[in-house]
Amino acid sequence: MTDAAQERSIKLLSSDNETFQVPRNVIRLSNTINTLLQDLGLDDEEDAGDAIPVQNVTSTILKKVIAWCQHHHEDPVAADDSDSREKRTDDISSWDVEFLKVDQGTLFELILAANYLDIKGLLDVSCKTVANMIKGKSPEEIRRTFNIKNDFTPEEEEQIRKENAWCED
Amino acid sequence: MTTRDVKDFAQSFLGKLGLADAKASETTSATDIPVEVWPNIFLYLDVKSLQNCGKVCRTFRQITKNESFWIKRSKMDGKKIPSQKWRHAAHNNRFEGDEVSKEESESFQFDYRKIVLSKRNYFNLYIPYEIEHDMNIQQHSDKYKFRYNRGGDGIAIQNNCDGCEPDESVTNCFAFSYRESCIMVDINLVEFGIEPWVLDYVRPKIRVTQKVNHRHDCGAVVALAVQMGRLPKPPTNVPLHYNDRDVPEDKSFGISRKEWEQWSGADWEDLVVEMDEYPSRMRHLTVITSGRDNQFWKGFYGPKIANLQIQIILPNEPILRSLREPLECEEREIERREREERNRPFHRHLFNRCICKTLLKMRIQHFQFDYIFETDYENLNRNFMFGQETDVGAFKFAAGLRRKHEKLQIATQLRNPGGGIYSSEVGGIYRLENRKNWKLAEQGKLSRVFLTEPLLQQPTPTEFLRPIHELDRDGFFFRKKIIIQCMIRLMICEYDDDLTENLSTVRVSDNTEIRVPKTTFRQSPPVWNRNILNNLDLEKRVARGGETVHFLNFASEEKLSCNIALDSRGILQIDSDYRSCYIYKFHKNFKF
Repeated sequence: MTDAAQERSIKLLSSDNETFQVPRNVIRLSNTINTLLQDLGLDDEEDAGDAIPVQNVTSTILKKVIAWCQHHHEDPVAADDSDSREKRTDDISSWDVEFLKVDQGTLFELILAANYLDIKGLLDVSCKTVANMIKGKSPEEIRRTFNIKNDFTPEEEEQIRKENAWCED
Repeated sequence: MTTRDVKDFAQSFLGKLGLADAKASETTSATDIPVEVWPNIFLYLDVKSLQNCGKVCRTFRQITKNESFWIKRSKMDGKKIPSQKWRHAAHNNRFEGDEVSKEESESFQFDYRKIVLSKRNYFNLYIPYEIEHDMNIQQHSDKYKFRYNRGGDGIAIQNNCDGCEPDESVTNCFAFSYRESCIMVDINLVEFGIEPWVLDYVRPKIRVTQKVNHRHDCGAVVALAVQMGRLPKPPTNVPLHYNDRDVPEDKSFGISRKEWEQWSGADWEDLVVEMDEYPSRMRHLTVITSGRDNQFWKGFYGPKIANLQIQIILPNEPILRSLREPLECEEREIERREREERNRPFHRHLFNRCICKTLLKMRIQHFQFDYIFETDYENLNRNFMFGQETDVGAFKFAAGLRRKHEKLQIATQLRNPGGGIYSSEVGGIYRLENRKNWKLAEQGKLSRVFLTEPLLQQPTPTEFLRPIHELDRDGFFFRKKIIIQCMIRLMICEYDDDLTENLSTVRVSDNTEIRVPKTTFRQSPPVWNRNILNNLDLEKRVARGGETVHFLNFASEEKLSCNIALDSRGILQIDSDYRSCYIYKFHKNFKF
């Protein structure tokens, strides 16, 4: 990619029709957008052209996503991508911790957006944050944390009680 | 929360299936979190949390049961699972080769969850043990659960260049002595995570590799033998003469040998055994590395071994093969091994599956225990020389008791007559039924101890004998350190008291029989016969002809039974697994 291309900016259109200008090398963190730009040959065009619609992401979330990308776009790229994701969940950087101090709804929307836009780093930290909310909690506590209804039938409950062999380590 | 089809998970989860497919956004309030985010999150959970999630709601449960979730998880955990070709073949029941019918292969599935949770690398390199410099052979054996047999001076731990050329891949090694020693690693392949149908219809290649070397200044011989068997558990005993045995048609056994001359090159090299054409229905694998020097030098001049590796290699293409029944010669060999297993002479290293009883007569503060109970040999006295002429009565035992998590733990300490500690072992961990029983025990009214399986990780004796207040924070009835002198007598389970024979017959858990030299019992209680048995307060009196005795397995609260009988020769037989609970109570007036 040439310098010129890196300086270019891309327009993104949120689901509620707000346009965002994002530098090309910031949005490269999103594999989805990246692939799209490459596939459509938009990288070669001088003009930023039309805004890319990001249908599933609202402006509030998109703003956050862009902020995250902005902070992280200079991070070194992880050597190995899909095969060995780090399993630890206590290695979230302090900036990310602050960044993810949001209400649950936003957090889940961020995960969705990260999933949709395929931003691996953001998906990782946000998922780890939720995983940390689950760790060490009893099923009842998990239900309470995420406001989930217990929809098991009594028979299923019984079955669950019976099978716990697989987790023995 | 909407319940969705499992396929939905798989899709969102296996990745971004293109932009067109993304209609993800739903209302995302905390009460209605879209299901597709969860698998991503669950990937980061530990096993325990994951299990808890499975109990939260149906949606979560489906995720934790989902095949693709575990496939993804296996990647994160660095677990090797069968290749995509194999996975697809199993999933769609489209195997190659026409030797096995579709109906038959219908049920052939991989259990990915089991693979991931097995803590082992399935279809990958498996390293049964690592050699650590600051541990002796017994400690290795305890830690990695392998068996060994000492010959000459035994087995030493050395670094990689003691009398030989160093090698980058080897840090430490085991060095053998002037008589044959061996190390045996047992693998139950099914427990290991390999599906029985794979063992029967695929029969993947099994490659066992061991680095071997010798001292430059001494000749040596080493053999790597691999033996497969049908029994669900590996044999208890060392196969005899495995080193000389060579039946080339027997594909359930493989051996590779190496011999060095004195003053010959001393570079590390690989000894490899590949198991390929073995018959179906093999369920366990025993790897035996044995060796000695061939100049009979005192010390550890024998061969050196390191880096044992086992690989299970699935063929590239998912091909099923029809069942292969053992050939006649193989059948003979396998049967011979199984028979050999039953008729093996007694050896103290091999005793860990035998039943061993300990009579404890302990006075603990104000109440008295009067019990006989069982533990296994390894746990009770690892260093106790059974095979040798040891005067059992001359030793005194100290026992410490403490309560932790409702378990009664009993440590025994073997003291020699001079007063020093001869050896110190934890004799098994037992659990009293409940708090009520503890109260009874406190009042001296409890008359039975229920045994559970010994814990895998036992506390060390030093931990054990620390002042009790440190151990017992919840202020139970032990308020101070208790070390009690007590009388312990050891008996090997049941033996024939036929005085005319020089051998005693001992029956062990799986109804196998071993022959024990009479000397073993020299100082033991003189007879263990009907008179004593009649004093056993079992639910049913032991009787000629076979009776079933019922026990309560405390751990699972299921009722177990085992057959106890005196056969026509007056030999007591117990037919059950020794790890189950047995309760024997002597009458109060019982005396040896």
